[in-house]
Amino acid sequence: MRPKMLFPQNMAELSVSLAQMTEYSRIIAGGTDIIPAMHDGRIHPDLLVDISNIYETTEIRELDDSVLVGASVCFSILAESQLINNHFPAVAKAASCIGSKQIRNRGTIGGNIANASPAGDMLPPLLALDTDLFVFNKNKKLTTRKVQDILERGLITGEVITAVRIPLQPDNRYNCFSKLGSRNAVSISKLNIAINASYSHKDGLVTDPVIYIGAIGKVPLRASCAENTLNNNPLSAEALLRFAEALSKDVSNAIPARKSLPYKKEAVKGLADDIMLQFSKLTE
Amino acid sequence: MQIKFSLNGRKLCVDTDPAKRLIDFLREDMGLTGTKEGCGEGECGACTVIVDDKAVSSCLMLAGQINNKSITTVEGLGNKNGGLSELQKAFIKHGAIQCGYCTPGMLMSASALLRENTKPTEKEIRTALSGNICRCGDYSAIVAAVLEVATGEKEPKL
Repeated sequence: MRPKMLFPQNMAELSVSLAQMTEYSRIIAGGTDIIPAMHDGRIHPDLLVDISNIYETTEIRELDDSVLVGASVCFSILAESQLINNHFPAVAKAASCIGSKQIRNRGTIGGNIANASPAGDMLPPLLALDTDLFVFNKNKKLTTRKVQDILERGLITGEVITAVRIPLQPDNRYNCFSKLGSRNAVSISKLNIAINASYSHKDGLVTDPVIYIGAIGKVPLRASCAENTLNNNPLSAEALLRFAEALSKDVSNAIPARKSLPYKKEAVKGLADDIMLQFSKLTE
Repeated sequence: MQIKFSLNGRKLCVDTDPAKRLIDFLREDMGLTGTKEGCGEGECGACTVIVDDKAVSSCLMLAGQINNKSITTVEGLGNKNGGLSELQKAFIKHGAIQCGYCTPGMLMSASALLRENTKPTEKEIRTALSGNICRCGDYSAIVAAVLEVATGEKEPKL
């Protein structure tokens, strides 16, 4: 039996719709994860609340200190947004690498976070950029939560992510993303990585790097060993070699008993080369 | 639920279950069986249709989500006189079809690309078609067919 559907048109109607949700109900926007799950019988929602008609979930807007991205903004729009490309190339690149054109035209940033796939491509960039999420509930209360919090604890019944707030970065901070899949397109990440770090043109040093690696655990891993190795170092061949080794150590520490470790601890070195090449180009 | 939408240029208002997948709605309710189901999970592109000028997998969208939107299926590609479109003719000319099951999806992805970019490069064509899988034919023939109609004219020969 198919679920009932509600299509709230504004935030007031959304709160009414959320109040009707049970533990089996689901929020839907793009539907690229939920629809096949329903069709295969993996989930049996009693109610679907479609948030994609609510203006607040569809806009990309620059604020004084951040950029607000509606939860229903699809990956194609994100990848093509000049605002996102200018400030957050890591987010734009991750969005452009997801699935196929058809998936990118439907899948949304909010869905990628709420679905919390271990291989979700939006997650490392959003974590590296210290992103906040706007969470709205059936009592019309709007709160801000961290991405990490949603990934670890999830949403409770009657809550929905309505927007993502990405802080604008200082001029000397650069961010980028890279992924490794089994093929160039329509590929689920075997590893993905995002970096957000400062670079001083005066002394040529990388400082305060924040690095997340995805697809090696339930939630993306903060690559602390790689961060420490890169911090206060130049973008020299030797430093980048040490960075790649440190990243490999982060992977080994995270999944010591996983069968895929021999592959991933080597593959991540290639990803290290790729992302630092991107980083170097951004700093030019 | 009553949904209002445009289907291949015709404005319609239809009462249907909003949680029905778009592919099932098109094939069962609208009788448009040109759209094919392959994997049913957005991997193969066989069910691609155009919604508001964007290629989407109709197995990943629900009927209720096309309210106030414009849908084009492979049946809507032909010219006004009921003949084949230039893109369809190019597919035939280049032998870009073998069993033909992926062809409607290929045509719709190519058509969506040509709506936003009338003169795509081969790389752009391959990127746009990367979500469409053909298991028996020849991708190079498909790309050649799309390149032939990608003339850069203001009104693409779809």
